[in-house]
Amino acid sequence: MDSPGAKRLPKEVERVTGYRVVVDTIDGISEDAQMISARPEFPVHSIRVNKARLPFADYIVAIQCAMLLRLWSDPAHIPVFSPVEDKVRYAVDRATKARGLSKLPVGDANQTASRMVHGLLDQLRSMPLEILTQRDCYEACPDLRELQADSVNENLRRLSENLSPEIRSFAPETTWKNKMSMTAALALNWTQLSGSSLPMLPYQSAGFAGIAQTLLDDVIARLARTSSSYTGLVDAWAAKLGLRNLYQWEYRNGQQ
Amino acid sequence: MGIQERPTVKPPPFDFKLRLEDFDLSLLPIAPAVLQADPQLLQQAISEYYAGLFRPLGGTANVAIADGVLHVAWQPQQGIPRDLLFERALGLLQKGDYRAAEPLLQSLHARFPDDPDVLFNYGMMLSDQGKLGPATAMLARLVALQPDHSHGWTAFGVALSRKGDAAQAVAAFQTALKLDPNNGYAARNAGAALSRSSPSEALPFFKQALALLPKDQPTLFGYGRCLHQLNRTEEADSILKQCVDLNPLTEVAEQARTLRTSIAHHGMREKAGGGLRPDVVMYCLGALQKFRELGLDKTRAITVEVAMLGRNGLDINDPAQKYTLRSLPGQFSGLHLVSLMYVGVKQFDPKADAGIDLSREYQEALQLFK
Repeated sequence: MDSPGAKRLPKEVERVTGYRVVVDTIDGISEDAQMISARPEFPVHSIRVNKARLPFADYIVAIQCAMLLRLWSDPAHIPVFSPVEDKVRYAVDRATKARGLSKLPVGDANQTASRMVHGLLDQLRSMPLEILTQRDCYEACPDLRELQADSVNENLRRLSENLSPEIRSFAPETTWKNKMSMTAALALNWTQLSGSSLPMLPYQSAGFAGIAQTLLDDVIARLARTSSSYTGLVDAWAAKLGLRNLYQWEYRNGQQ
Repeated sequence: MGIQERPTVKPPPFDFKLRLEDFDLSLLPIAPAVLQADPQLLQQAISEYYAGLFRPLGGTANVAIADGVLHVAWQPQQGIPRDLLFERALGLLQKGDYRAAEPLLQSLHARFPDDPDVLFNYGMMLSDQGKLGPATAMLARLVALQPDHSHGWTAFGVALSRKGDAAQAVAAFQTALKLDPNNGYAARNAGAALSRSSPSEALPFFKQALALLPKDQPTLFGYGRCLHQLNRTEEADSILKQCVDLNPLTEVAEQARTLRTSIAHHGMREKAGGGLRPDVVMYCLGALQKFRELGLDKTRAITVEVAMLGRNGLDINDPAQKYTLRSLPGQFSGLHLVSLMYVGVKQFDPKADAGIDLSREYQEALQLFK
């Protein structure tokens, strides 16, 4: 790691949490990195950077550390997003019957719906934190801004594939709209940070500018670097998107 | 009659045309499938992209699209457009922002096809992107126009080498070095091109490169690998360690780490003449005793912690006790930790691959432990 920010943040995580940060690489994942937060049976924070994303490694490490710092702001009370199984199953069943998927054989439709609903929940858990930490890194690591721009733009490009007519034609309407609303908020956040209007263009044209602004307003209201700001933000988004009954928060003590 | 002030002459605008189909859609933060499905969005996105590209340069940029062709006309407030644009592209390249530099170089090349600076920088960029046909053509044109351009010959050699033409590549690097004996990149690339077929011929080139570029990761890796090919493993390991330490999260560091692991495992066995390592037997025995005392949960935590540390390489041939764990008090040598991990892994799954073969020492320790 060359960047002062990328070097400083892991040390900061070690100081705040008391656990060592181990950074290495991994093959065959679709995300930028795989991060495992420390616990007694796994006494290190592991950040494994996707080998295909090594050119962005400094930024990826910095943002993962920024996430750890937010989640561990109170090490005795670390939030864990926990889906409520029976409610999620109900949401999957409903999505299976939705237009588009109902044309598929039942097994395939159910599998696709399950992947979509779980993907949506994963997005609800991770995207608010991603936006908050994008802002943290933009502020704390100016030396990483070009890497950040490349990394975020690539991520936005990948996410915008969901706007393609093929995906839209079979995705359940509500799930798709929720997914696009959160992605539009991510794009709007980056438009505001970078000053480029490009990330928002497809969302504007698809009619997501209003909801993106509303969701981003929730972010702006909860910028404090505490885990409760993060959980509050997820809850605020979930309430607006009708997802609040699909998960609950559990807390673990990282010091034990 | 008074002296009349000469009116300021505005420089001519910088204008160029680009077919939309030649625009690299991966420069946009929008999926190609989405853009291709919506021609209006595509036009708007490309227009905005170019408007944003010229905005930091000041002046006025007009971007228009008609009949599938993009027209850009940029009028700076002052200065020569070619120079301003090239300086901006170079600044972006120096900061490593290749994606932003690319369309500027593309525009410059469209307008000034024989400009040596543009040929050199754009040619190298295309070569890095694997577009070896146009890259080789551009760099060949450069050295034909400027046969004394040492870095041009180096870049040409790299493109040739990537195309698989090692002999022509070495000739290009040698030309570069004749023109400028202090061209470290030519020396490094000559070494790399030769190392596969003749490590002994490659070695002096790497030595020369390292003297000129002591903090260059590919030079250190090439030199270390070449030393390893020549069975000078201790020197190789030390150079490869320097290579990884420069920046552990790069492709080159990955390769250096893999090679170091193989050297370390080989060296560990060699130290015992290929036989049993009594120190490892004792470490394994100690681990068996410790794990029985601590129980499975603690054993798992220790094993995981060592395994995680080991991902970045543990120095198993240095007896110094330079490592600590959170899950187990004390100071440990690299070999001690690896032994702990090996025993830990075997507690949970005797058939699991622990990443290093300590099976003979482990079996011996098990006999003693009974």
